[in-house]
Amino acid sequence: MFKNILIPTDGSEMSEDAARKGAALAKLHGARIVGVHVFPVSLGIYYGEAVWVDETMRTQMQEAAAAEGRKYLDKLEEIVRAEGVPFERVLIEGDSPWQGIVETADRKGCDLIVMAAHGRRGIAAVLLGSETNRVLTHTKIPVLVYR
Amino acid sequence: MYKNLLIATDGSPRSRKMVQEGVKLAKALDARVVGVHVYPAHFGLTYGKVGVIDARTQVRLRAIARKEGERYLEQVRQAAERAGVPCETALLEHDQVWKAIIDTARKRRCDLILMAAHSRGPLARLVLGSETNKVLMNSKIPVLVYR
Repeated sequence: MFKNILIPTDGSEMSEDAARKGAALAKLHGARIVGVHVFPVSLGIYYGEAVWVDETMRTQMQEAAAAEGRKYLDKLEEIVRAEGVPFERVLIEGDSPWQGIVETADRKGCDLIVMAAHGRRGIAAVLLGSETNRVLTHTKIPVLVYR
Repeated sequence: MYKNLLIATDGSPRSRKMVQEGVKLAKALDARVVGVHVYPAHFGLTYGKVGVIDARTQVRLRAIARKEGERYLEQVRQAAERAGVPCETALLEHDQVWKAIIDTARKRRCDLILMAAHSRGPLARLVLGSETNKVLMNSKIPVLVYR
């Protein structure tokens, strides 16, 4: 049925939980998993019109963000491989995670996206995270949402 | 894994496509399906505090909705029968569609809810359907959203 499942991670417990369930589903379907993490490009502190971050700082912050993203993908890979499911990782930069997720699903020819109802920025009061909502609005493939 | 899928249909072309996909998934998972259609107990169109639709018309509209709903559920039964998937259906009268769907999923011990991302209308593509959104926000059971 599903052959190529995309699982985004933001390193949160919620996304790990969704990944575990997604990996079990992939195993059952004989599917592979593409794990994706999108890290921000425009890291900065703005005050009025002024940007407080110079180029060196920006580069450092981006490198740190990418390193953090690699850790999230390591964790995701560990979860997926534990089920004996083939795994491929995608680490991309972009200021809208939802866009990176939708585009990666497209590019990799995925037939299902598995994600948590809300991620890192999700507090209890936010019942459906903004990234999840935007993925649901913009993708053309089915999305399995876990709470 | 998932053994009892609730398929919520509003009879729209997107829902019909989703019903076919859902039955295929049920087949692959060796699961059964519960087809659900919810129609409103009270039809809208209020002007200020005045209901524009009188009681007799309400009764007539409900009768039409029931008949339509039966047709939508027949589509589910037929798809399930063709695939050899065990199926039951429920036609429900409720003003809060999302609530009726979640309650039914709980009562019938469904472990996955399938819905279309949105139903009809020219703007439908741009936003997530409001009932789908509410199910996503309130369901503790995972939701598989089809575009």
